[in-house]
Amino acid sequence: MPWLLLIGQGRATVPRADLQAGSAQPMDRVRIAVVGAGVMGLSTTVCISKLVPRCSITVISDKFTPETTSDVAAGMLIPPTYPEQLDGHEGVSLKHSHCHHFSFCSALLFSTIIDTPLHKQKQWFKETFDHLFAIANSTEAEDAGVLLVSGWQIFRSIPAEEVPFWADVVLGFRKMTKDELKKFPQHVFGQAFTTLKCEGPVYLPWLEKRVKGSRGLILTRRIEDLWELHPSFDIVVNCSGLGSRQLAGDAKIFPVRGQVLKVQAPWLKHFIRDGSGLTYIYPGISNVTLGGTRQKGDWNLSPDAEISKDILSRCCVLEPSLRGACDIREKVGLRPSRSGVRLEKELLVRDGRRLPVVHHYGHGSGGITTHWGTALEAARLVSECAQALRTPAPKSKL
Amino acid sequence: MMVCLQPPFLQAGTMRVVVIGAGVIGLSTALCIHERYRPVLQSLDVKVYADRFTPLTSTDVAAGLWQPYISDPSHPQEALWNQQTFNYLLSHINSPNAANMGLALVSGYNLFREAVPDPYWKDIVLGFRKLTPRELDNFPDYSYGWFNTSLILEGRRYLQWLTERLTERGVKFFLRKVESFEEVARGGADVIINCTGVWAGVLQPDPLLQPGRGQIIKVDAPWMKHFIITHDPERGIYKSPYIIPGIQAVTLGGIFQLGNWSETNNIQDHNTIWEGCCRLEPTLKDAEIVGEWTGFRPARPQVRLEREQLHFGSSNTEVIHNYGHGGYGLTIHWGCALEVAKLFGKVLEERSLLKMPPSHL
Repeated sequence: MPWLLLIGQGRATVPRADLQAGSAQPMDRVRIAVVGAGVMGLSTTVCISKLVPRCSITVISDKFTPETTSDVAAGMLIPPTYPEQLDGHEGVSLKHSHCHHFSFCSALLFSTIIDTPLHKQKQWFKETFDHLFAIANSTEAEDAGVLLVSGWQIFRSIPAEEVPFWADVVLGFRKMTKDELKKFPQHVFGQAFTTLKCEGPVYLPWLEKRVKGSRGLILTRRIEDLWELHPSFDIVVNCSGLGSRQLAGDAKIFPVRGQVLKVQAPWLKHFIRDGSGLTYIYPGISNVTLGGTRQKGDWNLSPDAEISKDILSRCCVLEPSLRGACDIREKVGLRPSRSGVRLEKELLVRDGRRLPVVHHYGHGSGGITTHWGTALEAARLVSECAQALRTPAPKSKL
Repeated sequence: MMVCLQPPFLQAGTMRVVVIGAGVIGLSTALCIHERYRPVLQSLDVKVYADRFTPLTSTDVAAGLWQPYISDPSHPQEALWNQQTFNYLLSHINSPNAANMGLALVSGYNLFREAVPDPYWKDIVLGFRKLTPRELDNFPDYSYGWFNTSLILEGRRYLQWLTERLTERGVKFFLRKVESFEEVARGGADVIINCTGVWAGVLQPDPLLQPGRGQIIKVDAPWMKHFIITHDPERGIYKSPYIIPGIQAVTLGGIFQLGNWSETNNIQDHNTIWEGCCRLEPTLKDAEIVGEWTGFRPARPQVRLEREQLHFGSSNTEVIHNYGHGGYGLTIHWGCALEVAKLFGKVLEERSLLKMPPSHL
């Protein structure tokens, strides 16, 4: 294991705070391991480096950009409307469901965030939006892969919620006019607004630069068990997305497979999203993302040609000029879906050893949309862990 | 495109139309006339004479944003022609050919230093609204503005498209420098459509027509999805920085010099444009420059769109003038083409070539 070798080769041994009564010495440099190098791992690392003094951070992952889930996502800042429709199912109102077990039904028919309160979702979205908005207007915008895009979210029937909770976070939100809706003859209602796009393949390298700039280390390694990180690290931040099924033993996280096409259609300047979230057109810096699918429980990372045809066909209905699109590339990502983001501390204990862990995963289809807000919160939790480790108390509570 | 260097034989009984000028005005007028009258007049023969074809016309330099001037036009008909053009283009936006035409929807910002009245075209464009305070935070030099969705019609691509449509219809193109209406009339033209733009004064002096010299820089900045047009009422239209994304490149501009015939790029103008646009949009500072061009807007207090009869020898030659569209040629072109087609219809009636104008006019 690389870091053990480093330690053996003369790296200063850092006195560990002894959690037994009486012998404690306060910890000087806290050693933090962040597992996962997608948007969560990298942004959390940046947040920790700003918040936690005297720490060293090492990002450890088996996959890096451009091979993470974050690289496949289009990165449009449009919070999902829950419950989210999954492939092959009509949206069924829970009132009409014949199931008696709510969570069973929701797992079957919807991807539902029931565990995260709305005010939290809004807070995280706003923090992410404000953070990226500042980048979009700075000279860093191109290097960070962040841009402003305007467009339309359109509905085939009037939605229950005409003004969503995030309407005042995006810019210029309003209902579409009748003339605007003429472009979409199958749709009867729409919302027009300006939001941000944050592109994984550019944003992640930009974050990696920031990590290295604050003297963070980046290591390639597949972690099979969080205990591998003990005792080399004092705190583990688990940003492993779907990997938490194994690493955290979390059976509540499951993939929702998304297939997308990345095409060349540079004349498209607006996003178009069907309210169901299943069909969308997201113009980006160097290509346009066409989507998509929501296939629950499907782990298959290989693109399916029939699905690609179907995506292109659905998008051409919304934007006929796409028939002229070329250089079509297929991509697949597995959304790390869960009934709520897991953002909490956990103290792992085994054979008298203790390993504080901060979990930060399970964002489903709202990852890039909320990443900065949840990363700030994860960093706060890490800060609490670090403080606890530094406090020479007889019985530290974590 | 067929470019012939000699006029063809005269044929008895034909209605021979010569369009002078192959910018957006000449080509769209030729197409409009041919579409409307060829079905009812088999003897209609349309030719285009020009000394400049795409990519060397003024149209090729234009950024291509559909947007009239913000003040009311001196000639109220121009407002109607602008609207007709917008609706015509919008009707093509859902065609698979839209990108081929150089046509796309684009949204963006018009910025001012103080509150101004809404423009007369606010209900022509889509989704017109005022800017919110948060949006204005992005533009610290400006305190008021509009947001709306409009259209891009890229000059070069559109001219290529028009040329293809005309070629399909058998309209022929001739590379030649016309020195006088007389020479064209004596060559056999029955009707001359004068779409010579800023050079119309060569064929017939027009003190109202002047070059409105513009210079633009094209950059590679594909993250820019919105147009941003600033206004400085004291300095005048197009003298304030503007940024207009096209299909492949983004146009930066902000130069309008009345009476300047210099066709070469000017370094001071380059700096004015670059500094103004980078100040407006700091993300541009690292954008790669892909080209720089100078063009002349055919500036005139209003468009000259009218008939004139000229007499050369024993025959009468009809001239229909269609020039002087300033910085809004692409914006107004189709409405003007329709109007010329209407006037042409009257000419046909007068010459008993047509009992009544086609009902779809």
